[in-house]
Amino acid sequence: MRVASGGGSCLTRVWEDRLRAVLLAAVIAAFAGGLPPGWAAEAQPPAQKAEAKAAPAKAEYVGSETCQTCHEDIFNAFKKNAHAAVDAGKKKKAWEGKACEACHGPGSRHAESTEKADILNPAKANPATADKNCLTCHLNQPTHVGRIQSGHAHNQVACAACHPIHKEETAKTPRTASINAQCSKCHPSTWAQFQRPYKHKLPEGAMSCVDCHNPHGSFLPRSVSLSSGNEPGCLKCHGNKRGPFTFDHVPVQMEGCTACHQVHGSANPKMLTRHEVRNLCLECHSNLARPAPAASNGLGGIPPAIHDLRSPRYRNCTACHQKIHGSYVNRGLLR
Amino acid sequence: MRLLVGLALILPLWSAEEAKPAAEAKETAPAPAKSAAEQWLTGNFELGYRWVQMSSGNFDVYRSVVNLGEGPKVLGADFRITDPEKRAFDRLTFSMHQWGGEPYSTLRGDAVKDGAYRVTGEYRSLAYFNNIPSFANPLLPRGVTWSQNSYDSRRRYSNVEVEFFPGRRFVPFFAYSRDWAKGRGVLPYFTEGNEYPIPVALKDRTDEYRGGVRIHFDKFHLTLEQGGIQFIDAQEAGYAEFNPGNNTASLFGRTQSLTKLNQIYDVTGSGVFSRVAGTASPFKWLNLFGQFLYSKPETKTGYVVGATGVFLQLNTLRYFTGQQDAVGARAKQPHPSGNIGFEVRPFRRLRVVESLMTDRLHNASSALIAEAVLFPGVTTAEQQVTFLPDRLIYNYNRQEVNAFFDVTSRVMLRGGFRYVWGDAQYSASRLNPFRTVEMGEINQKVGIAGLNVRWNPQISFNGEFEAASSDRMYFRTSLNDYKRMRARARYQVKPSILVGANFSLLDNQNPSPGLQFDLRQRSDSVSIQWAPKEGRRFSLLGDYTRSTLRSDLLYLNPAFLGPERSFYRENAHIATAMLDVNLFKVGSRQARVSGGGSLFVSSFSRATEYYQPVGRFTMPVNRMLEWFGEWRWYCYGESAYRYEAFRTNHIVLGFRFLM
Repeated sequence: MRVASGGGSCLTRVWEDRLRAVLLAAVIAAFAGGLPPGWAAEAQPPAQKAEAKAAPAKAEYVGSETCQTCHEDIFNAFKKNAHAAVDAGKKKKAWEGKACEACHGPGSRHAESTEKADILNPAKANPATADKNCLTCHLNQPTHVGRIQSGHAHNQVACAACHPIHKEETAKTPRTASINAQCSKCHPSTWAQFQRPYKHKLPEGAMSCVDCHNPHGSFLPRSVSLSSGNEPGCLKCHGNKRGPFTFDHVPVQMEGCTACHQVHGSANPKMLTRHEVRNLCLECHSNLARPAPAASNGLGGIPPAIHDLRSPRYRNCTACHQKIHGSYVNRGLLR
Repeated sequence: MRLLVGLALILPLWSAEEAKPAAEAKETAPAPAKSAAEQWLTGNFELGYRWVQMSSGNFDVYRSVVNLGEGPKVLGADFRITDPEKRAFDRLTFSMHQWGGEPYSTLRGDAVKDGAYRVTGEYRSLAYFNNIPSFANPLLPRGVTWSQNSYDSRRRYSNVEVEFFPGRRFVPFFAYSRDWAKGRGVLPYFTEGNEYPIPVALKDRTDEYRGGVRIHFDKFHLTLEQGGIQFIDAQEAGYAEFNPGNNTASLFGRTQSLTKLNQIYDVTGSGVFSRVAGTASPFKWLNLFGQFLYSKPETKTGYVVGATGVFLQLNTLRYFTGQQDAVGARAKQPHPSGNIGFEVRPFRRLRVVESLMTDRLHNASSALIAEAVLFPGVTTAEQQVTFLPDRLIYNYNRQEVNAFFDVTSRVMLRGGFRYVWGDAQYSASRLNPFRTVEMGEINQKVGIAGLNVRWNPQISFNGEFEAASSDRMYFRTSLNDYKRMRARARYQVKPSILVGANFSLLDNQNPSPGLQFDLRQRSDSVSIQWAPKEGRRFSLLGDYTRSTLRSDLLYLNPAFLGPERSFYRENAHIATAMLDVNLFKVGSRQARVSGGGSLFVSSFSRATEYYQPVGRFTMPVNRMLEWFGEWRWYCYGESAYRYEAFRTNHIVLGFRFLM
């Protein structure tokens, strides 16, 4: 009974082991791109993909002049784009006269059939595939130090979403306006903040988004750019807030300008996050000073003071604490 | 001005005359135009005149918000010069905008010779006027509409950067920038028993020099940069009038006043900074990146003030008549930071990105303060010398890992985790009887999820979600236990119609006793771009955003220690729209009219209305010249501070020369 039972168990175990092995192989194969075929094909590099599609007769490079025959407008505009240097062989000799195919893959089959399916169109490919094209040449560049951890990379925003690959670079649109228009297409709610009365002057064309943000990613969160090494980019224009102050207002150093300011725009004067200054200050400076404050109550503890909020003098904190970003001479930030 | 008005009236007739031959020419044979390749100069130049009619309202608030002035203006100039013979340069671009007493003037130039150099220069001049009667004004209940924290200054910024051999393996670069401001302001002079708003002269300047080399190879890149800064920050006040200050209450039958003040604030500083940044791709499946940054700014301060009047010493409740203070201070702030990370692709569908970042700051400073107080009827002043050292030490660290999995070519999933930790300590308030040093820590764990769908080139969606749990944080208002969501969808309905929708939400809670912080911020946007037939007849751009913000937390009333609630709420509707209609062609140029603008309407804590409708027309005169006009209305109002409203009409007429 025990043997029979044991025999049955062994058999079951063998089948279980086999099943497990098959499942494991399937999982590995799936991860390795073996299953299903449709899935794997999508992950192929662009040039290989175009070649794979052209399996019946291997596609060959035909040169940019062949492309010009049908796409003359694109070709002419491209000649005034920075990428024209590829066609001139200034970057890699191998691509001289073949700039179109450097990104679109060999074009002989498409030239013969004129079918869209016979050529790779990075603009219509998924962003990861399209970006592989761009990063073949542009990966190891200074602007990409923060790229991998940037919000754009995390959200699969393709290079071509912002950078015109074919278009002629003209001077018809002011640079700031064109950058702002570009960014606001995907960030309309951020652009909406600039319609508030107190704001940085982006709609007026005095600034552009890239004055404060590095769209390729930065050391700081939200791709905020840096100045003078590792200082926040805000200090590029607000140099008088740089310090180091003899007496710091610590949130300025630790949480940055956004601790008190809505930097894109606000309905409150000086782009503050609160409608009255006292609310802004007292929200932090309110916990009682005591030997061991609750950890969750944070820094900024002050003891009871003479500030009677019924008097307008004490409702306007910056009327006395005028050096609110930090003072060189007074610990209370009064001078 | 009369000439401009005359021309403005005559030019439409001329343009109408011009339109006929152009139409006839179209029927016969088009005039041979220069091909784009032959044009060595392209661009435009705009000249105009602005009339401003202030129909009603507060002029100071108008200047604080809009600040556009009347008169002749260079509204814009953009040029691109391509030298066909490529002698000194290959391409030169130049642009300038809003000149002629405008509040935001910009200038930018860029010259490139491929493989040899690239020079970029920039200059901006921004007027900063800020005088909002309701802001920092203790005298407002007495009818004084003059902020005691107001400025009228102009800030300028210039930058020049030269790169040699762009696109080559080794690219040396040098840059110089200057940021400086000069102007006047009103700031209060503080004494123990009163504050006296006085006019001050303000000046600051920062010069930055930097240089280095960028090294590019196929497998790696390295940037080495070294720089330095020099800066000054000066404030001066000379005042000799009777000033009763904000506190007019009498004590012991006397009131306080200021009769004379001389104050000089002189800060000079310098610093060095270094940057090493690199990326590498040793294998096809691995990318590495990292950077190390270091800066060490330091300042020296000299401060002298002499004041006479009637002042109150609070700790002795005695009146004194003169005060002289002198302060010498120094501060040094070494600040190293760095990050390092990698992206690994073990399988074709899977990417893992790991990054580690640290930011450390140590500000060590000290001040020697000499104070002398002169009491009436006494010939020698009471003197006190204090030495005050101060310190801020701050460490912040962040580690994040994200995995991206391509489920199909259309769907990508993201999952990740972020850990933030750090500590800080600084000198406690001198009124704190318990401690000389305050210490804080941050400890936060964040889970991350994301979804990216690109169903086809016409439809895309991406969403992100973060949920955080903190057991320690630096400030009461810091994000504690929060959830953040973002979603974005785009649908290209037709080649001519693109619609988009965005959603974001931040929900933060801190239920600690005495705090009970509840923050909820939400924003929903929809946008449309409609340009049938590639915008040949008309195009429409529009978006609408509904944003809400609700913040609610407890604080202690500093005088009575009773708990009070700080409640801030804003419900806002924001819309922008622009409709461009092409009318007819004059030669190759299009006559156009545009209309639209923006509106911002909010309710609750600072209920505000701000409308900026705009109407524009462009009338080509001939191939090289366009006549244009613009009307803009600025309408601003607040329900709590009605005297801060304003309404202005702006009319601009001008010419655009095209090349």
